[in-house]
Amino acid sequence: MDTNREQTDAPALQGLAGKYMTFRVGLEEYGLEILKVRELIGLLEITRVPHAPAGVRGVVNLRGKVIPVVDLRTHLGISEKSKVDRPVIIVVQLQGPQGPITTGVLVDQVLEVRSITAQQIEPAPSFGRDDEATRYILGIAKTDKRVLLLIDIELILASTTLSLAA
Amino acid sequence: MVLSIEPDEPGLTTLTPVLQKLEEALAVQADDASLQVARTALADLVRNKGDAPAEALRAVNTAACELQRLLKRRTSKRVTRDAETVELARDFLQESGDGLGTADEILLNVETAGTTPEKVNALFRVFHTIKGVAGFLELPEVVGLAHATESLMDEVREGRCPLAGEALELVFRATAQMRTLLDALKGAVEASVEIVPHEQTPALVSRLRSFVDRPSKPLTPEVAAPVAAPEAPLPAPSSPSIAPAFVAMPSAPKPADAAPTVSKLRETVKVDLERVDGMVEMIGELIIVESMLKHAPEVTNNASPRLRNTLGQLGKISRDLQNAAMRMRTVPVHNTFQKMARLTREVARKAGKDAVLVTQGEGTEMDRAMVERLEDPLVHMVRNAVDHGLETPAERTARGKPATGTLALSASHKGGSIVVELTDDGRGLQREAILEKAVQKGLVNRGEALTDSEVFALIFAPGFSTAQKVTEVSGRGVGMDVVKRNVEGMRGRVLIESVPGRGSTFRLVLPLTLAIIDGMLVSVGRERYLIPSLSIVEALQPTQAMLSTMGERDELLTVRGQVMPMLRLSTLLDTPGAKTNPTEGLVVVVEGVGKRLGLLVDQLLAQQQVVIKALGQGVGRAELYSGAAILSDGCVGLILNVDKLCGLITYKHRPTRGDSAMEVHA
Repeated sequence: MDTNREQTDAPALQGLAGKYMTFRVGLEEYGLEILKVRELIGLLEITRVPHAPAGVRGVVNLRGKVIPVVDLRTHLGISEKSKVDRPVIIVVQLQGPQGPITTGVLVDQVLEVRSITAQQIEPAPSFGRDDEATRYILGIAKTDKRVLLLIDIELILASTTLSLAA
Repeated sequence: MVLSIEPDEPGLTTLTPVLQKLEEALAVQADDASLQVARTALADLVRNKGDAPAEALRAVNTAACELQRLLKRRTSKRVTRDAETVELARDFLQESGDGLGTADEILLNVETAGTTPEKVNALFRVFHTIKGVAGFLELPEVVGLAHATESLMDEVREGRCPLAGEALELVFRATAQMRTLLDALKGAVEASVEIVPHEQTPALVSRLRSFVDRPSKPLTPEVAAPVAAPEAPLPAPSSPSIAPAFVAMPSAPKPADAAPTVSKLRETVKVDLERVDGMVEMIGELIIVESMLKHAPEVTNNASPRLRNTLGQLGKISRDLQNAAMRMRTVPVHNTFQKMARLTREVARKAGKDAVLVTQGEGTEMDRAMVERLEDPLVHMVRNAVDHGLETPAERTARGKPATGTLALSASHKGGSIVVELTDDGRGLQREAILEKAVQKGLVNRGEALTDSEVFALIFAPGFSTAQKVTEVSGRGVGMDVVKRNVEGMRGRVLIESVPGRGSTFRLVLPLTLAIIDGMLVSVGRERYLIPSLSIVEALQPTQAMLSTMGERDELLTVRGQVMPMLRLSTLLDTPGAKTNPTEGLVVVVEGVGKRLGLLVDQLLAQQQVVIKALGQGVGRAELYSGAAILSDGCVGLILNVDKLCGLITYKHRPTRGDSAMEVHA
């Protein structure tokens, strides 16, 4: 079953090559496809939305527009202990069924923009558990010293947006 | 093509066929003031063949040149349906729509108050203009219908038949059919597809034609004969004078073919709605930034009087700007009300009843988006009022009421809201019939003691209809449900009053605009929320005596003898740091979906107008909020959806009055 999946994933992994915005959450480094990033904003006052799905920190005022902010910690299973004082919001724009959807993604620190080649990318291993963390990882990119986890931002946002999932 | 005519053309006999040709061509092409003039001149010329004045001939010549130019332009453009044609079609639709509105108005007026030559001419012009432009746009079906109607109007104009009875009915039909065709055209243009002919058009056109060609034409014209004047209690006409509610038509005599529309036209500019919306949104942002600036600690703590003064001015200008921008989006409800007048007539005819609609406050302006959304509920309300509300003429007479039922539709500004009312003088809501049906449907239990307003609220349940039979007009039970949903979608409320035998009033209370609401900013712990002022009944500080509990968990509040459930916002929204003793906080009593509810908050912070922003996708369903707003400090505040909050409370059946067995599902 697993070997099957790796085989079918192989061509898909090739498609992952490109430029990534890299950032840190906890001790781990992640990459987000640069074409989906619209801008970076320092932390604004986030208004909590009671009864919102888990992983939604709240909403912020982005120059007069109200956009939701998702906290990657919840999705990636990273503990609250490593939280930083001044997190950053990466504003991403995705194509939804009813036009573009703008969402903020809360991360600890933004690092740099990197080019990732197809050779650098490997599939993410599954540890046989049925938990969330690896669900949102598209692949792993080996860089000079460390590994970069390429996240599936669409899937993450789909988990908080009903219309995106459709 | 033979189009050029010299003023000194010898002999009118040779001219006549040319003129006829020209007449035909002009009829299709006349959409231009100079052509109109030429057409009149031409008609004069044909009528007084004997002495053709050189002036008329010159006019014909000018018209011919004009026509030639027009035809040239047309042949060069006809290859593609380019952007310009689409633009023309759009203008045409807009203008024809207005024209048909005028036609309806006039027709209704004619029906109640009889005809005058001015009215007949105005009607003629409407169809004539449509025919002209439709010809240019190559819409044969529209041209055919317009032409047939025009011919009939010509008969009337020439005094060969009165505009009453069958003729009037036919023109009514033609107006309705024309609207159908134009709607179809609009759809076709928007979707860039081929226009499909409507199956009813040929039948109507041939009826119009056969009426014009009918064998027995009376020789003496009988134009001013009014229709049997209906007797109505409201200011409906009992003589051929114009009813006050229909005064849009100028009663002062005007030269025929002079004013193209009934009211004086103000100069206007057509602007894309999107641009206006964009501007309104930007001004909203400006207001927020202005407010942030004014409240910035650097400014509030040590601003010089001059800076404060300047900021004050900035604030005033921003608000004026906002008001001006909002006004750009408002339109009077006039057109919608006219449609309802037409609808009343149609529905009454189908239902075999006599009804007139009198309108009031048609100049009341509303947000354009709201006027559009108001139409659906009004349609259902009018149908309902005519079909269920009004009795048959026989029943009415038997009860000593005038045979013709009267619906009164009014719009007005009241406080910060717009109130739209539809009153009928029919039989009133039948409490028992509604209750019986509700029991059948399992909405209430038999023997439940319900107040009038609770019973009336039942008619808004989906699929609810007390009609004995499903008619073409209503009875399927979808109507009132639509009314409620639409009105609540606009953050409005529906109130019903009814007196058996005397009639009912449906009152829609709507916000002034969809974009801005008046809200009360409340604090709960460290968080702030907005409650729409429209749903707030009162705010009070509860005393211990007002509070009681059920099962030590669910709380009740008694205000002046009325018991209502109380919800702590802090509990509902898991807000930390809120006051725990209710007597230290404040209760905001809100009303939604016919229920009252006390909301416990810490403090009332401010009453303010806020621009509503969609909460957007990405926060789940978040049903408890109707949107978000940017507060004066730039933070986002959530607007509570009072209807949803009140919807959390459900009542079990209450066997007897005063038994407070209620259930709170929080």
